Amino acid sequence: MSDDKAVMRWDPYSLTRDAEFDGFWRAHLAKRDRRILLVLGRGFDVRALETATRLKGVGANVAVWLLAYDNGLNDSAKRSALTQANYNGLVALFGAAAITPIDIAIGGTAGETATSRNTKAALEAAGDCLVFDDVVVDISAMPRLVAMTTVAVLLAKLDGVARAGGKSVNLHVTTAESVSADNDAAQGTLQDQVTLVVGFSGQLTSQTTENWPRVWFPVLGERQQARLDLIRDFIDPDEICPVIPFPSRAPRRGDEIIDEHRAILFDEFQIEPANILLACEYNPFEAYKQIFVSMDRYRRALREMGGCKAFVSPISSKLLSIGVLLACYDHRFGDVSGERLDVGIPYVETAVYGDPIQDEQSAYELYSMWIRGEWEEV
Amino acid sequence: MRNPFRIRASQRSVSDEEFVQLFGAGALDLMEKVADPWGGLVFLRSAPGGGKTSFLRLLTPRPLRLTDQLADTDQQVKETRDALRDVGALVSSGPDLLGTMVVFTSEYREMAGFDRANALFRELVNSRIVIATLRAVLDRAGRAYPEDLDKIHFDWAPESGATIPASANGRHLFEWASDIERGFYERMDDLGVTPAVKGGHARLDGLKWFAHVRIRDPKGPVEVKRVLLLDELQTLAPGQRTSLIEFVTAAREQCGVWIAERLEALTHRDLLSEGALKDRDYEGIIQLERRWSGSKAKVFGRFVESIANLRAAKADGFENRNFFTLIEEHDDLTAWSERFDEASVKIERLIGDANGNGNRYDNWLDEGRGRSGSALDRALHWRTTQILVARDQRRAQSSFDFDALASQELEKRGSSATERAAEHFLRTEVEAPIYFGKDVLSAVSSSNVDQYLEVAGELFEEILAKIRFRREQPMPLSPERQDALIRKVAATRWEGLVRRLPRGYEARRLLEAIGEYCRQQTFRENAPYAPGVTGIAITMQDRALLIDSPDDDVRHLIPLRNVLTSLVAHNLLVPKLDHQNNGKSLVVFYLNRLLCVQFGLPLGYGGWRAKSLKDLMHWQEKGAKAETLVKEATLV
Repeated sequence: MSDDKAVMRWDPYSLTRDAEFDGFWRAHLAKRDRRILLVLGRGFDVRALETATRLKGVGANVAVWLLAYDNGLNDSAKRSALTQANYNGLVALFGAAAITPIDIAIGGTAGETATSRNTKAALEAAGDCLVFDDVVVDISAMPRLVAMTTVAVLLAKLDGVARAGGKSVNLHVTTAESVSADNDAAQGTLQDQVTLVVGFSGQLTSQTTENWPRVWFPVLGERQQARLDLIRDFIDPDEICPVIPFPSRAPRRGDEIIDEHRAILFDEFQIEPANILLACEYNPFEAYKQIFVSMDRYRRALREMGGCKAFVSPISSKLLSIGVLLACYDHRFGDVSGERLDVGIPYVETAVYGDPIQDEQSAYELYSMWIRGEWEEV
Repeated sequence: MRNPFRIRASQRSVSDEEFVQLFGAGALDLMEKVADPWGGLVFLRSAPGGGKTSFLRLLTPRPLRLTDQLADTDQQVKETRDALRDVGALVSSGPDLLGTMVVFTSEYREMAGFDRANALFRELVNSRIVIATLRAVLDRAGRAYPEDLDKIHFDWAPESGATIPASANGRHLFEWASDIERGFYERMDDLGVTPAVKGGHARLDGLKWFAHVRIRDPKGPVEVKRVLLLDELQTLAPGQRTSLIEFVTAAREQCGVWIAERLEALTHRDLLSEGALKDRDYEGIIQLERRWSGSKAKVFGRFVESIANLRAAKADGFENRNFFTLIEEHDDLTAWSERFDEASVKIERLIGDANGNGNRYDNWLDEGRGRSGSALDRALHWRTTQILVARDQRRAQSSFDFDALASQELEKRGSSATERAAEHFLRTEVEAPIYFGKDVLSAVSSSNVDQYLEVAGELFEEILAKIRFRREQPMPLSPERQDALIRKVAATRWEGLVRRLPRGYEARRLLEAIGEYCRQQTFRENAPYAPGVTGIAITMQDRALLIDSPDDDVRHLIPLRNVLTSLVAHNLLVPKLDHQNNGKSLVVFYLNRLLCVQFGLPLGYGGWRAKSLKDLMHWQEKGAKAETLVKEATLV
């Protein structure tokens, strides 16, 4: 197998946690004049302005792309008020002139699967991000599909330009992470269709590779039975490897997630306990490595059968979603010398949100992940 | 130990052998009304979990062949084989059908965003029909796919402009189709700037090719009936679905085409038009839940019972037991006699109070006191009498209190419906189990196979656990535990409703209000709608206003229309036409029977009350609490 190597792009990695966030950005900005593009979501989440506030605090020169999503339905008074308050806060930080709204139509109540594709189209039309030195994508208040698509599209674009000898723009992803806040914000009505993140179809229904085994890695969080059910029906996998958060801040969280999903995992999906994988809850790069390696094991083991399709569903925290995206991106576009996996990221969007029950005082921790750029050239 | 009721037979992780052994032959009864299943167009529709994909899978080559082979050693498979012979899919020499399955997914719907003219859609469908046929031919011949592709050959006479090769072996066709698939996925997976659409196919030649192509496998020409099985059409974009169905309908090719789709693919007009409600389905539509309901409910019961026994037999340690012998059908009266006797005493006192100083119910009281039988029988008699007393007291003053009612009057005024209402009241009041037994298990499934398996699976899990510890003398699952487990499934489904259903919040509010209203009507002391109210109705005029009107004329009704349509598509409300004696027609929306469990209602059909659209809109907005604001329902 010596000629079939997969080299992990994000090993080592650059991750900055809350307490070091200001110091990291001060030092980064001190190296030279930098124009920062902050891409963030117009949403009701209590964490929406954390990155913006902190960047403002360290004196960054920031322009904003504000992704405004519309599912065609009326928002509740409470959500509208919270969203407007976040917007007003953003204007107060940078001024209205610095903010470019970018409208994205996302899935409504039934049958729509265009969110990821619409996000890609909106970003294509938004303007030139190459005029900036650093692009910061704050996914705290973004719906999961919008967040993952935004990071994937910008990463591919910036990689492509740099690879072609053009400017190398830095890409950072930030999120104010709180498992409880994610859980509290995320309840609502689900879409009845599974959507694939653009770029990651996994060639699911390809008839020419119909015989290839399908391996599914659902990265699990709390209360995900409905999503699991829909995605399992969609991809109809041959092998399922649930990924649970461990280590985690609450030491028993992984066990509790397994216990909560016991019936669906063991009775319905008939998974083998040995298939359960662990991924670090609070370090997306460690999670990336764990998922990447597991996917690679299948890739190499099953190449004798012609190939293998891997599907990874990020139905846990936003931080872990970035780990998932990086693992999938690296398998698709990274340094893999042998036959590549077909990689898919299936997800079920929330169609209609309930009113958030987030506590404004709820604790969260800011993470800054430096995904591409100067860091890799060191 | 795993629960075999949780296995989804249609999944590819279930082997063809296991699938054939789990298949309930009774499902093939559904083909009774299909005149020409292998030469015409057949729609197979249901709510999620109706069993469509399993049905189609059985018609593909390997399961057909295995059914033929395993029938001699397996009685259940023999029944399937006989049924397949009856419909001509099998003949004495083996399979006589080339079933070719193409499954759609939401990938196609995504394509609709940039493939406005459906050219890429047609191209992809053509390629997939070809590849699926290659697989089916090799499966039928017992050859390996894709290794043996060059051992099969295909010839046809394409019209000008057709792109499927006129003469080619399987390998060549595979390469041709693979190119199309590669192009599709390159576009789908491109993270760069989206290029303009080029190419595509102008016609859906795949169908004509499938119907007419001459096929040779290593044994010679393949001369069997052909059927194209198109699954999951609801995942297509509406334009794609419509164009595909129109094309297939107009083409009238010399092959069978089966289209399986969920009801959610249908519009409000498709689902709730007068024609659809009058069941004017032409013979080419099999709507599973509807076909299994009404007079076919008993047949459905037998069908799901056979599935339950097949599943149970798959469990380690269950051995050759019968699932239903382990489900208790009767109350444990030693445990409940005291409660029933207490209820009898209480009811006797209440009737005595109603008598006041008069003697109107003296004979009825004597009748009750002299009643023999079990504690349950006596309590039921008292509870029936109590309902009749309540009715009597509500009557207009046509008689005087001092007219003692004769004992015979008790029987005359009673009915089996009243007795069923009395039993439901009694069991509810003393908190005795209501939902238990084989028939209840079938009833709570609301004609949906998945729903049946979910409930039965919950019971089975506990039965299996009991067997492990009392292997020699397994005890049947008590009515109390059955009742508790069935209620637990109902509650879990209810909890998940908002999450799983489009417009989940509005849908739950409306159902909550319907449930609350049905409870209020059911548990009225005189049980006027015995055995209970489990549905609401709207007039056909209101139905026409809601369904047939242009959107612009009924903007205010669209949220209600959307929610009703969604609830019907998910089998949570079951529409039925009901004709009144005065010539007024209504459409009744019965609650899914698991919702009846959730609301503590009886499971029988027949009891409903008419409501206005205004009431329903109010309910949808306010939920259960709305019911206190709504005036007493109109008697129709």
